Amino acid sequence: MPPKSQITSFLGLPNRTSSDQIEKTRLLFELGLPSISDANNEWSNRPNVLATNQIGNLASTARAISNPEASVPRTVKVEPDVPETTKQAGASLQIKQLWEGTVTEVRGETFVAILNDKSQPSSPAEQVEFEAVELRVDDLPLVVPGSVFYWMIGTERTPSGQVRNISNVEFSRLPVWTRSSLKTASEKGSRAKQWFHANGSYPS
Amino acid sequence: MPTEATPPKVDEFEISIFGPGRGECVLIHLGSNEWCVIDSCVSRGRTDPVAVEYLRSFNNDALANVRLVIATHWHDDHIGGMAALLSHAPNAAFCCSMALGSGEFTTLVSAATATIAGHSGIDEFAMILDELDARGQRAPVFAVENKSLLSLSGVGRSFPIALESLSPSNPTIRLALTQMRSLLPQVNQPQRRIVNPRPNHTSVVIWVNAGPIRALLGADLEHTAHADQGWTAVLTCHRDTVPAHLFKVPHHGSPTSDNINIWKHMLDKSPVAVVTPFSGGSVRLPQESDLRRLSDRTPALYCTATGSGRPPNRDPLVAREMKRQLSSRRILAGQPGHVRIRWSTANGTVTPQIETFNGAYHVNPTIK
Repeated sequence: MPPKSQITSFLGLPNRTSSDQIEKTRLLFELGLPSISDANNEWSNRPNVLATNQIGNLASTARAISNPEASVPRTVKVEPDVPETTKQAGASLQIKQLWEGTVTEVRGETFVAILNDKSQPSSPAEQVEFEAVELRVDDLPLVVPGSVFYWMIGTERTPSGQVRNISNVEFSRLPVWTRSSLKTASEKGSRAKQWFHANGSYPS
Repeated sequence: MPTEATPPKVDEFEISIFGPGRGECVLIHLGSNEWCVIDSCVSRGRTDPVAVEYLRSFNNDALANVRLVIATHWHDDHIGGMAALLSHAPNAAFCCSMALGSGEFTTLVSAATATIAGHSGIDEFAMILDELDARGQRAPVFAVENKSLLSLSGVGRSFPIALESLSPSNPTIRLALTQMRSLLPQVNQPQRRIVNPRPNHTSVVIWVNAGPIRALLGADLEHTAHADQGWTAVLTCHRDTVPAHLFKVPHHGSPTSDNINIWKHMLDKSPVAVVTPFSGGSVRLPQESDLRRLSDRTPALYCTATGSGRPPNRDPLVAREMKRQLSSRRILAGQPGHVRIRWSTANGTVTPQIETFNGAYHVNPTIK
């Protein structure tokens, strides 16, 4: 019996060597964007299907957290900016549906999540229940309430012309809370409380 | 023939209950074209909150006459679009649970706004604070048991009206603060989103006194094991001897918020009861058994909708993959139905006019 989902990375392998490119890859990974480094492991012989302009767009986002102590700014666009079709050297990937999910509850072998439609943002949010067995083993520890993931469904045409359905669930690797970022949040919270009780100014 | 867009007469007391968009909303006509809005939701595929759409449909400047906007708690199924509602209602004061004025909650909001943006109630609450700050309005009305939230005399108005909060009790607030502290992030923990904790301990139950009419709006308050918390505390603190003619059933009719003593001691013998569905929990609410239990208690049980509606059409491959990989799937935001109850205060009668719109229905005739 075939597995229910084929776990692949939908950005393919970036065949880059410069230190700058490696840094971008690391930062994208930390931001929770589709994991290029994981693609390295699984698709080591694949051509690079990530367009150059995508890297450029994402680089500005990546710079925003170049300091590992800093939290992610609210303006950061976290969802992957993936073109509908990426093509190179005969391979193509057509993304038919992309959701951003937030885990709300873990129930043993399954987990419940809220899906927000990134392909058709006007579509209503849905509450769904996934089977954890669908996930990559290294994603399993990330399945806790509040975790963010992306679910992509599409088709891939291989260089040999074979068309395969792809369903990929990938969890974001979010930055961690540091002592300083927690202290900042706590101080801002205290100022907000004072403001809320008409005693002090609103924290910017 | 009145339609949904027909405004109430100045001396008509109205309670309108909408749901479920992604959540629910209650509007109260305070008389003389003044309004109070409790909670907020947005219809599927729309941008303005249902309260804004409803009041705007009257074409009588009702939005400018919203006196009070109340957030019964911070879950996303109760405050969706509330910041936008406040921006459309510039003269409204803001009211929320005393528990939300705590340092624990404001720190939680600060922590949430430092992480990735999402669609949670806590993100909406951050936008509410921004909106209040932009209009130079702070120090909201904090609701706690037995506190007057709004009181308008009948002098120069069509009828007197008062709103009083019956919850949360102080022990319930302490419970809520403990729950909030457990949500605060720790060092080296990933910056995850903050999801709604259950059960909800911050909820604001509201008692409405409008001339001869009373209404009990149950929000999402649930039971606890202690007499000084939850609904038992409400029963203890309640003082009005006149029973309520309308009951907004708490927590979508769930058994965890059901208490027969509410019906015995706080409600009229056959009150109008309105329940709003909810799709986001472990089970859909209300269940058939909930509707049966509630309809045994009153012949005037209404529900605002049968569910959240059909899922959108998907590409066949996507639909097939969803069916294959998901063990359950529910749409969270639908087109909210509307139950509208109006009483004329001119003749002193407590017999209401009840209307249903957009899929809302009278439950009792559907129970076999």
